[in-house]
Amino acid sequence: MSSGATIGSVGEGPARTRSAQIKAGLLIFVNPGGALKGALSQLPIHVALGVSGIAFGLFFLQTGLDLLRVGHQTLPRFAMTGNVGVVVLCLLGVLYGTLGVVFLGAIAWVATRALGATLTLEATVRALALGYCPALVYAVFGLVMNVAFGWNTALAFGVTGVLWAIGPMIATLREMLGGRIEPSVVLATILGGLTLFGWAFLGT
Amino acid sequence: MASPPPSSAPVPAPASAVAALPHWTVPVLAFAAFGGLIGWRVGASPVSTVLGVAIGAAFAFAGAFVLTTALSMANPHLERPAVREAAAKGFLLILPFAILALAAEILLGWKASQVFSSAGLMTAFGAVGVEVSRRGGGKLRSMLVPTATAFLLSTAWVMLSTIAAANWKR
Repeated sequence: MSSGATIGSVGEGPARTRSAQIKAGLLIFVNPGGALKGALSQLPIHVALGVSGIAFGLFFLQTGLDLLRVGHQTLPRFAMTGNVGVVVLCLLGVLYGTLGVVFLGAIAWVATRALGATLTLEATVRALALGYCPALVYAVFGLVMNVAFGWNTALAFGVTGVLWAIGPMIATLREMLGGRIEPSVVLATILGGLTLFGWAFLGT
Repeated sequence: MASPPPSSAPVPAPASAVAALPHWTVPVLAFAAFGGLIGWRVGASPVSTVLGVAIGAAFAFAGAFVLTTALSMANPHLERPAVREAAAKGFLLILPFAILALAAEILLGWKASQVFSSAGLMTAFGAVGVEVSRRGGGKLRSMLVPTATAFLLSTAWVMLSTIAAANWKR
């Protein structure tokens, strides 16, 4: 009995590689966040948190730029105005995307453990943080539009990017919960709500 | 005597309450909510809200039919009930977006239901594609067909909302 050879594998290598490359290329256009997440999934947790930290940092930066453009206080909850407020808001976003995501990951870990999951806290936080890859893609595009064309992009690009993270979040939770989709959807709704309304509380 | 080796048969997915519902139930409820939000925002009356609910529900029913038909045509080897079951599970993913849109508009006064509906539509349709590919559908077809359908329907929804808003304001 053959120990490792796959039936039909001889001669199919280049064709399968080309097909896989075409599919990967299409995936980048159809789901750039997913493609990015796939490439980063083996990296350490601090890199994963770097993704979410930068995503939220750029999101909060756009919020500050939008508020500055319409003449509002840029950090109303702390009575800050102008460019200082924008910078502080951006740094607040980085903290939100790192410590905040760790907090969300802890909530997800506790909830899924109660439902029988066995994934570690570190793996949970890494998976959730990498789920914000779409948010990072949207945040980068939004910042370019904001700076180059003067568009108000926090809602259209920032919030959209955060909403796009709900899909990967549900996929992660579902994997942790053995394929159960209903508790995954409920938990993702709670976590998504905490994320969005936390931004609303801090930045608007 | 040696004990038999453990079975290598694939473990079936856990039973789901979703499978008992028609596959269009969840998107109809979600888009009824989105439509109701838009109707309330542009008309500020019970009539406009109910009309928005009805239009949203009809739109979602048509959208679910279009997607399942397109996926069945793209995967003729799959039974139609399997595609509908996949759709029922995938469409569940639109629920968080509808709930968050309602909460954002009612609690925070955001006028952003379009953002939630577009993101929800794309996410849910993508999830339907994943479910179809899990049931033996072609991976590339199950990715491209839902994405293209979601893009078209999302555009149609935005246009419908804009037309409705313009007519209600007259």
